[in-house]
Amino acid sequence: MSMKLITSLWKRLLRPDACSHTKQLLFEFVEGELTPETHRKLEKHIGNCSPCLDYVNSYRRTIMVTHHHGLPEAPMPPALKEKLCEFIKQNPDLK
Amino acid sequence: MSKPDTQIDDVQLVARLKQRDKSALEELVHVHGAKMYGVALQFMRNESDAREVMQDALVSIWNKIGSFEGKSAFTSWIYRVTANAGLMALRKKKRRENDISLDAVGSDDDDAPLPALQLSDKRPLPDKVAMTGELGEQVRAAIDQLPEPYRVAVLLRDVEELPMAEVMQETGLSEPALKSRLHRARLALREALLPYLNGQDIQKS
Repeated sequence: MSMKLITSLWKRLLRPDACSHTKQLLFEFVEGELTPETHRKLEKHIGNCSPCLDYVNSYRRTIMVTHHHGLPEAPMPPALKEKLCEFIKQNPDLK
Repeated sequence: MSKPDTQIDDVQLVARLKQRDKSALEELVHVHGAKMYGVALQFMRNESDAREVMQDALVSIWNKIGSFEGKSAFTSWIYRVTANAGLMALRKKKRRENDISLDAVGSDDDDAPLPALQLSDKRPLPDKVAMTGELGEQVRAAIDQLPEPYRVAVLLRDVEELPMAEVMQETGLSEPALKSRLHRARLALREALLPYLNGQDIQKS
């Protein structure tokens, strides 16, 4: 085994776990709160790591569907609309 | 470029409210009441409490309309006022029930994940179109099952998209506490919704 390969493997072993960084920094990464340098490094790792890419994408999709589908689609009951209009007419705080 | 009709209507609505025209408030109920009701219902989970929240929101809108400067869309502003009314109502309810405080459920120092959310059926549906309605139901069911402090954080930040600073102000949480709460809530939602997430396009880069 060449010295170059051994050095490379050794460096890889000593390198902090980039995937664990994805989990640790996920919130800040998605919210755009990392420094440009850290963001760039993490983005580079995510781009080359399929599990991390899936993880980040599913987190983003969760935020997206929460926003789009988070509110009930039930229409306001007509009786409630009438009650609110009556409330507006009668309430002394609304002068 | 000309403004869409709804924006023109809102401009007129705001002007009439500022002139203390009560009929404008009734019109607001007709035009924007459905979404306000949705916000109130998601906070309170029942029609009766949602009605009280809407009444409180209408009083707030009436009293605060003078401070609305038009920097944000009027609709965003009234939904935000409704969300704030929902948050206040939850606090009152907690006090009435002599229950645990908003800050007491779950420890933000605790890294343990939230309990798994129980959804009705996690099997992925055959195609994306068929999933649209189902997805909405599952998302709302998952949010509904979050412990209240986490649900409030998600509703204010991810559903209503209030700025972090505003959510901190409304909830009284520190920035690290809010981030932790929001992150844990998102992870719990992600876990619950995972079978439904494939095929949802990501809009943010």
